[in-house]
Amino acid sequence: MWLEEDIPSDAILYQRVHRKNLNAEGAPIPGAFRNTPNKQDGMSTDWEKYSTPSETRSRARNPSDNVVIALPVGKVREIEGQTIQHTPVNPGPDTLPNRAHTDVFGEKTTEARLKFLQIYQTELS
Amino acid sequence: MSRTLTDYWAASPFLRRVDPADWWKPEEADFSQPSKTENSEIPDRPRLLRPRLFGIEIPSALEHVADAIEKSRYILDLPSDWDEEGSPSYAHETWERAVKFMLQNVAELWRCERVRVQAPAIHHGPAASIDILWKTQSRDLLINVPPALNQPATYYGINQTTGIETKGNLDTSASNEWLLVWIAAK
Repeated sequence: MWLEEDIPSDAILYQRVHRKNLNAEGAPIPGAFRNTPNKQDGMSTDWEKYSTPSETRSRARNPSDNVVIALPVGKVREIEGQTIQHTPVNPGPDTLPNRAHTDVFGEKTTEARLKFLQIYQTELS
Repeated sequence: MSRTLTDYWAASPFLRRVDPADWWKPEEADFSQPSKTENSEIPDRPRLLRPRLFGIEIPSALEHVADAIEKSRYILDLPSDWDEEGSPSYAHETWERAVKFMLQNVAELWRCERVRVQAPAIHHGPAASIDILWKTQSRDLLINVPPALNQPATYYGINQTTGIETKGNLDTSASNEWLLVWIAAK
């Protein structure tokens, strides 16, 4: 069983962005930064310690419909109201295991979403 | 030669014949005053030829904004669960509230001050809201219009050069040209 770990501020989080959340230039729109409605109400990402960008993309239902962006942990922590928690998904009957899984909790306000837009970098287009 | 009633009407100095096809057109062109625009290289159409969007007149100088609105109509075609993560679809009322609010302020700013803002990017936001994003060389501004009509819009802007922020709530039924003046400033 994987335990939760502390994530250092110099780490990187990888996030999948569906193509419907990209603009005409292939960049994420502000709406890409949101909490997942039906789960823990956090924004799902993968910690680079346990995942590569390709592996993050491969976990999507349709991987080719997704790009992968990188979010520096230190800069995410500077955004008001956002906290980062390593939430590994252990193997189970109904879940696909993911040791890298990390949630970014906090309300994704208008301010927060614009700040996410300012700190991301594209990893896999 | 006998004259008909129509002949008398045609000759009358008090009556003006109007083609029914012209009835829909607004008032006639006024060329009596020169345009005071700083963008004098943008020729303006005579008023009777200007299209309207949501009842708001669109001069030539603001066609790029009208184009951005047309591009955003894709939002209305997003179905429920479009992202396969439970996100809802978008109500026409929410989209109209957002684009009308933006257009009214852009048009008023042009009409009164001849300030022409660049076109924003209008996209679907979280939880059935609408995002309006401006990114200029020095400033970024995001306005979010929620689906609940009685809730205010929210905005956040930052001057990348000075780091000065502006944020708060907006009444979308009120004039908020000051925010567009802010984004248009150099």
